[in-house]
Amino acid sequence: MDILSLSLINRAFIAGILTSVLISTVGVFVVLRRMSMVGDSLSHASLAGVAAGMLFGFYPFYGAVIFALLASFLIEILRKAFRKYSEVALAVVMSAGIGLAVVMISLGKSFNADLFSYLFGSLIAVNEKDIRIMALLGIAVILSLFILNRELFAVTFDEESAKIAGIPVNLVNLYLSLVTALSVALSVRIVGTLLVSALMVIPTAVSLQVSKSFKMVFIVSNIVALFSVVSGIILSYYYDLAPGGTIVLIASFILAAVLILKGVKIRWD
Amino acid sequence: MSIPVLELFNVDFSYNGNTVLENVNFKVKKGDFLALIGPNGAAKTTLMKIMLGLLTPKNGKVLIFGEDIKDFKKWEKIGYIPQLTGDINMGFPATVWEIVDSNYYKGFFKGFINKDERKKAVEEALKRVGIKKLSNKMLRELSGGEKQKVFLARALVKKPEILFLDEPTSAMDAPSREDFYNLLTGLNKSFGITVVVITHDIGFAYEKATKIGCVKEKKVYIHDNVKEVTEGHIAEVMGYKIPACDIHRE
Repeated sequence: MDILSLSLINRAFIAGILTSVLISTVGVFVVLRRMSMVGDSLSHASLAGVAAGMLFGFYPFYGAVIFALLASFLIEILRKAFRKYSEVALAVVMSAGIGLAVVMISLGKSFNADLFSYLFGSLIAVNEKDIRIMALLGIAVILSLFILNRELFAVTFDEESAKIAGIPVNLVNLYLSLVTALSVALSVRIVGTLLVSALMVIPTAVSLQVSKSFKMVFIVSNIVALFSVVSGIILSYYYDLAPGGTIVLIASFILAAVLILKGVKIRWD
Repeated sequence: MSIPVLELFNVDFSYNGNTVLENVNFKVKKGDFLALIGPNGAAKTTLMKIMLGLLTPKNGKVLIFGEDIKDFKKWEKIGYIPQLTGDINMGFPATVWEIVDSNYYKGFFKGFINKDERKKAVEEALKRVGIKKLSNKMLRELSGGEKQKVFLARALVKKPEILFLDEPTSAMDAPSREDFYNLLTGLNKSFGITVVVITHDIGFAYEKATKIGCVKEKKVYIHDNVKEVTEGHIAEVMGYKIPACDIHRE
């Protein structure tokens, strides 16, 4: 049967393409702000949201989005409290997220297939409702990132000078926290909470190795993420693999190949 | 009489209860070239951040173009070059053009609308600093002197009326330093841009500045007549003793 004729796989592709563009675009700002672990913290908080949904009977995906947003606020508050040790904020939120998730999962006796689909990503689990949420929020976030690109660039590069340029830095930081949380929450369906952070960081890591301008960083990062996600979905469909793991492994291979080729080129030159 | 470009009134500042600046009062007029000197840890950078509104003083106030810095909105009038050894990522993956362009900010969405105007301003700033040929180079590919010029062009893209520079030549060799100072003096003399610069290069301050400010032991002493800071003083200043400041003491 032709792979594209299946509505299941169509849904997976739509979700995958949206996810890859979204998460790799946000990932550029996250990595450049030296906050690479923020994806892990937010995704574990979103797992607590999934567990809350399963325990209290609301749609787990909504729980993931709400908990990720709350966690992003908490990270900002803790970052201000631990100004010189901002990574403490990420570790605290990640640990609290796992703790809360485990307690709620055990209370709700929710160790089931649905939970695993959120942990490792799933093609089957993506339903029409998920796609609608992903499309609506995902496209809104991508458009807003495009519109606010100049402000985000200035704040990411040099926050103090951005203030003196007249940019409302606190507002831009808050916006970036919110879109990061949303992007993570929207991506957990396909990639899974355990691996979403990798898709946020690895395409940017590849891009930083080869890009010759800031614009190019986004283009390369988006291409690497798109290729990893689409080929990962195809491979996981045919070989019955967990899509999250497959996608992240492909992205990791690309990074390894780029690093090796660069190393060879430096030695050759 | 025209309003001073910058005025500080009875400014006190402390970090965690430890006072680092006390009762600071001075004015900077249009076209002034003020060099702030002083030993490491004298709170020169803190003073500059107070002037720019990045830090809020415990007491006193800062007026810039006659307006309280807390309510100031005309940011296009101010250019700022921070210390490049600070928090700025020098490996940031952007070209010279992109970095200079990023400072041309006139409000949300306006960057998209005024694309041609923006392009012209960036070109002009790059030309004025003499780095147009570096437009497509990445920041990480540049020397210390070239990087500093990029930051100067970034500040100039808004056509500011006052420039604040925090130790701009600390990572430069002697010829690059000379080149940079000449550029700065040219901007001050030919375009009337007011300059406030923190420097450890006392020779430069003595030669080029119209005012010298000594930051020492929580106080700021302004010398409107640079020549009253004698060469003997300067020699001692190089040893991080600042007797130039002592001439204000009884």
